[in-house]
Amino acid sequence: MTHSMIACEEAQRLASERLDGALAAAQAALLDAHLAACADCRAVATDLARLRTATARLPALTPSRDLWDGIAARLATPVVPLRATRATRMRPSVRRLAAAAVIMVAATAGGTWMIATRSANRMSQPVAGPRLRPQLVAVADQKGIAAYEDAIAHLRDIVARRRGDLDAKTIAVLDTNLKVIDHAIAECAAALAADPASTVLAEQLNRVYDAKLALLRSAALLPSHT
Amino acid sequence: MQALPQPVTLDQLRVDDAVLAARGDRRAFERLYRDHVARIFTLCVRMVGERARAEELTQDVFVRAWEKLEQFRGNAAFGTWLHRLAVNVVLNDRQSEKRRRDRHDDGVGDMDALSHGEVRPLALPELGIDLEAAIAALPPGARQVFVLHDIEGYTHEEIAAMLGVGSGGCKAQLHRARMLLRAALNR
Ligand SMILES: [Zn+2]
Repeated sequence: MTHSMIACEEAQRLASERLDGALAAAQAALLDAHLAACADCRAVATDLARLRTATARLPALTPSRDLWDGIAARLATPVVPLRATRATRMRPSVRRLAAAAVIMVAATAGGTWMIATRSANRMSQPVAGPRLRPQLVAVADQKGIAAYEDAIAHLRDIVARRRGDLDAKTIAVLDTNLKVIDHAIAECAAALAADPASTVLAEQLNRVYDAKLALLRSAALLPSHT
Repeated sequence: MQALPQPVTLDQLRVDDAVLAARGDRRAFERLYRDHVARIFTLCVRMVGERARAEELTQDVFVRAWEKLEQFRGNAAFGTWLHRLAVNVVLNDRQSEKRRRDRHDDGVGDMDALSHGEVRPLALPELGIDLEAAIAALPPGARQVFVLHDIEGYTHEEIAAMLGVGSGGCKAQLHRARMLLRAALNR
């Protein structure tokens, strides 16, 4: 320890530690005093900082071969439980929520209809749309789904009549989005058919239907092209 | 001017693959594998320092994930859950190999060897490739702590819990690893 109050070994340890967060003031002062006087430890501190930077930049590595087949061969065959009674396993809470959904979907569809009608009547200002239903509602029974489908049919009708008002780009995005959403609905409905008791899947289906409603609703509310 | 509806993608709307996989959907699980394999393999390589062994361990990790997926509740992100699982798989493997392989990973003995090398600053640009090799050459104990802390971003407390050591020992190993890497790269 030729330079100051702490030994080089200790100074280097502190320099390393400082890379991970602040040192206590007293320790920092000791370290700085040492570094000011010791070129060796300054070099170490600089290198450690460079090393840290280089480490953060290391790229991800990839295996030399596809490992999936080896994995797939080791996966136990899934046991698919047979469900004798498919539709009767809905939890009561889901049922109650479904009933709520029927009412809310009907209400928002009605509101949208009124505003869309007004906007179709050449309102020059963009119309503030009704707020999207914020909370998640599980509607994974036939009644809930039917309510959604009703509202959707309603909105589709409005949008179909407005097609002439909308520009080509908007219509293209709208159609693509609807296709994607319908695909997701089919996928989700299939999963739910295999596992009707799953609230996760029910909520997911609900979310996808919400996306569809929101999309159609916004299309119905878009100000006219001209 | 019309506000265009934003394009949506199926990924935003589809059922979470982890949920599907937990219910036995192999195709969903394969998608999860494709999404996460690079990150898991990278962790394994750096933890064990050998590509071939890392490939085997990566497979072990995904097989284990498949078996335990039912326990994944979707509270954490799947990637985080899988990463933790991978760390466990690697560490358990190391515990079994420790007896066989690392007889000279005994602490701080090699610190002396690197105290007073020549003082030449490390050149960053060429550091990347050498750095991988230098990490692989670290003694296993120091390598694990270095990878978990400096690369994977776990805290000393988390690492100490994973390794079953005190966080003081963990810090010492990290410093040791960094000094060894510096020495290796300055050579
Ligand atoms: Zn010094």
